[in-house]
Amino acid sequence: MHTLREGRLKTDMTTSVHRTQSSRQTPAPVLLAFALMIIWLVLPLVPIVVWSFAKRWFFPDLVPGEWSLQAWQYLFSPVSGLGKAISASLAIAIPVTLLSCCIGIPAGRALACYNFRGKRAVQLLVLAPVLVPGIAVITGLHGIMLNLELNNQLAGVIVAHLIPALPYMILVMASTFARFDTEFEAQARTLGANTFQVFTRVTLPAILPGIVIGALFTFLVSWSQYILTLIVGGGRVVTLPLLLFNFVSAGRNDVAGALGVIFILPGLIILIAVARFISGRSGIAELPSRL
Amino acid sequence: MPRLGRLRARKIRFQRLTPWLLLLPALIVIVPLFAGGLAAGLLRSFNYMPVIGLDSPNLAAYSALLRDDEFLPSLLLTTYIALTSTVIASLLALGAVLMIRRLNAGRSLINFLLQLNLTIPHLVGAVGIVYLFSQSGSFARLALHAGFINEPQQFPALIYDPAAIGIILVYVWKELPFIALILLASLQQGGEEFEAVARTLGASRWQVLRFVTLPNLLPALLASSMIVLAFTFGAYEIPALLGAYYPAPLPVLAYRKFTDVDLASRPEAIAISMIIAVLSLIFVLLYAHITRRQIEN
Amino acid sequence: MTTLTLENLNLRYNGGADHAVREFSLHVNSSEFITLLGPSGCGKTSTLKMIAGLIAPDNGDILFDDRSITHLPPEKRRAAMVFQNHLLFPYLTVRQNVAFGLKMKRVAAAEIQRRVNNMLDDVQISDLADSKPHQISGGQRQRAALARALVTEPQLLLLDEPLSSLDAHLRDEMRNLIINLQRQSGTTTVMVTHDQHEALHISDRIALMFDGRLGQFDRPTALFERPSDIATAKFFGCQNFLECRISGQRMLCQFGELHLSANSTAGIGAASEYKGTATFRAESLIVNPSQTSVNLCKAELLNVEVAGSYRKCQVKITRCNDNPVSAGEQEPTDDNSIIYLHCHARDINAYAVGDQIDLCIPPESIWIIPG
Repeated sequence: MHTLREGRLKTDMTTSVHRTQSSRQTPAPVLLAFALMIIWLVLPLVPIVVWSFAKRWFFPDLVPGEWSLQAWQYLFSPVSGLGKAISASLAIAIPVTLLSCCIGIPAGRALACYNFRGKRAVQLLVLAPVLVPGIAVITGLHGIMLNLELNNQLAGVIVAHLIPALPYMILVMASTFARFDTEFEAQARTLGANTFQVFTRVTLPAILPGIVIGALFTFLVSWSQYILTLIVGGGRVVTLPLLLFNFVSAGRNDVAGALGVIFILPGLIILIAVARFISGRSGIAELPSRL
Repeated sequence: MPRLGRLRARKIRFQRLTPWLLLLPALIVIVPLFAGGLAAGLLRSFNYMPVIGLDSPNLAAYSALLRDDEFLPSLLLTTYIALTSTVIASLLALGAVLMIRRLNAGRSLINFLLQLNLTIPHLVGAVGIVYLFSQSGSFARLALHAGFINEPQQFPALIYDPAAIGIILVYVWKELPFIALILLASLQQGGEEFEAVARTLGASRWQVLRFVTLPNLLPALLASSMIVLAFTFGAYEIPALLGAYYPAPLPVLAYRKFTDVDLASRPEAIAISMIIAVLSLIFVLLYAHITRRQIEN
Repeated sequence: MTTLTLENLNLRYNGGADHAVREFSLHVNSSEFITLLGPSGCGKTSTLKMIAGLIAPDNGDILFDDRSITHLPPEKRRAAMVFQNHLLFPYLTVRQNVAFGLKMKRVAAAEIQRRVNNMLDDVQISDLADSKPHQISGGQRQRAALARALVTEPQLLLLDEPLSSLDAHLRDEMRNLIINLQRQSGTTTVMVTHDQHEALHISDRIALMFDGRLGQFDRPTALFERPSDIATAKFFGCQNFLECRISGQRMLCQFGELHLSANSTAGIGAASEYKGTATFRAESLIVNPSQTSVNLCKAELLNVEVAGSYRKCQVKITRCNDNPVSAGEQEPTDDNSIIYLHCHARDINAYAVGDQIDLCIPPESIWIIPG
């Protein structure tokens, strides 16, 4: 009862620290800034959606002269290449995510739960691929992959996507394990659980939210990847972003709009599914997101 | 006894190895792909490839770059884009965060939108900016209806323009939420209590902002700026879609030279990549330095 | 120095119906050191934050020197607060931290220098002045936090559990430092704590808080010896409570008639006959008393617990003042005939569980709580 009270009071106090008598009402300039910010965040998405339902939208009409579903019909017809692009994107992103999970979970644990010589160097080695632009690495790697005959095919693109995706997963797992107290494992051992039981009954349930969030965002890292696919795929592997780029360059605004909507859907769905986990201190927000 | 001692020694040695065993698969992937890719690029940029008989490294690719008319303007343009985007995004994010914390309602809406923005690929943001700001885009149409212009050409060129305004707009749109979320997370870690204690010591609202809030946020702001700098310096698809043809930003120039039918320009492309790599690695080191100091404090 | 008056303060959780603080009124004299003492969640820190101006009360008034400051922002109140977890600004050195408040008031640099140096001397951390907070120990941090508050010469010093983050040996040192500096400066001080020993040791007066309300507000010895209600008595460790009927210098309870002293009934008015609760501390009972004492009892030893050189026992009273224990107005049950006894080991070592012992409940140790 007391702890419940205290918890409630604490949230109350953090909001009321700045709420002295004079400032209980949100001041008008703040409200204006709030409105502008919301508009700015949503604004670029509006014409994308509108274009996808436009038949004709000539200058200087503010809204399309004629609405239609032709962009969508075109996209879902066999000639658009949408089906192939989606399956290519999935055929790359899913293996990349699974591999990143298998390899990244133990690595994240090593970085969070152990102290060892050279740890700092390893942390940098994991951090760098997330932040260094793809083009800086892939032009050099291209020659090696050529020798291994990995270019111009899915396998090569999968390997290339691991460069940003795997370290990203490791960072998420490291921050997940940093919030996991390994004493729970020791406790379970003293209660008679063997190594396997400790993992499935104690560790896994505790880190599962981290794994799910990490996997979903790793999927998005691969899903959004452009330059690595372009160079390693050599034009043979056309994923969704490459197809979108082509339609934008070709000036097919309506199809590009519809494609843009499809492209952002997974992120939107994932966000709605995990929003309550990533708000606040979960650490995901602090992670460099490079989509 | 000696047997037990040996067993224990083995156990200790094994425990010391545990983190490395856990890291091994990751290192097997990352070291060859990332470090290997960079190393191969470095050697290639010095024309050093013993396998095909090039065994005397030289600086030919780099000097060719310096002779190239486009390289220096491209380097300057890229630096300008990266710095401008980062500074604007950081300042706006800082303002946004100070505004968000004074909201009594609507926080969760803005939080959701910030996170939504994080999941949207840069490419989609770029498309949206084109539709808004091109000479036939929504704003040009509004300007015409408001009577500011009579035909699309009179609308200022914000896309494919030499000042790279379109590119900067995309980066500001995408990076502002990213920095803002990092700052919000940093504020949640006890920042408000520091402000409370400063108030009881006689600091006014403005003094709290100047002497407590900003210094508290500075490490997070600098760290996230480093990430944004590294990204805006080397991202390809946004300048490729929204940039002017000449001078092209470095990543676009690198790709162009890399895919040139004349294979002789490949080392130049890789040399540009190495320049991007070195600069972004510097930003990574700065980021690591700042966050490490923050953790120590 | 400043007096502090709180008048009918109310604070609700998130504007709801539940009160964090309810009708709280208090007057603190100039240069007095008072403590808000109570279990966690009783509203004491909220009260402190209302005094500091960090939370606005829903209604009620706060006065410094009879002047209402309820509508002043925290920085205008000159009520410096020391938080539980020191909250030294991590990016400033110890010296810069201590100088913070003076800098905010735009005091001249030379003056800041002088006052900060004196203050650092007073809290004995001069040699650490140029360290960063993360480079010094927990005790030193708390000293720096105290210096940072006191150097501003506040009207009021507010301490929120300033000792609770320290190890036991540092706690005594820091407590004495706080007492000395407070006496020396004469700053009116309000401290919040949940630790009764700390409060008893350090305060001029203690205000007990239960569930957002003010309980007894009195000198430490008074709270300890003359609790005004059962909750207060229990909070200070009283275990023996007997419902009784009082008439004159005698009380009637399940053990029969017990004699009282003149002091026992000081907490109640002049009525000649009334109901009340008698309480006496477990350590005030006398084992093997001289046969001339009053309130002599015989009891069965039920249970002995070792506590260093002391013994905590439970005994069942079988005879009291030469009457078997069924003569009282209440039938004694297994439950209400058991009392707690704390005594030195040498007094009880000769007995084993199940033995009969002689006890005395000294009349002057009995305190009657009305109602």
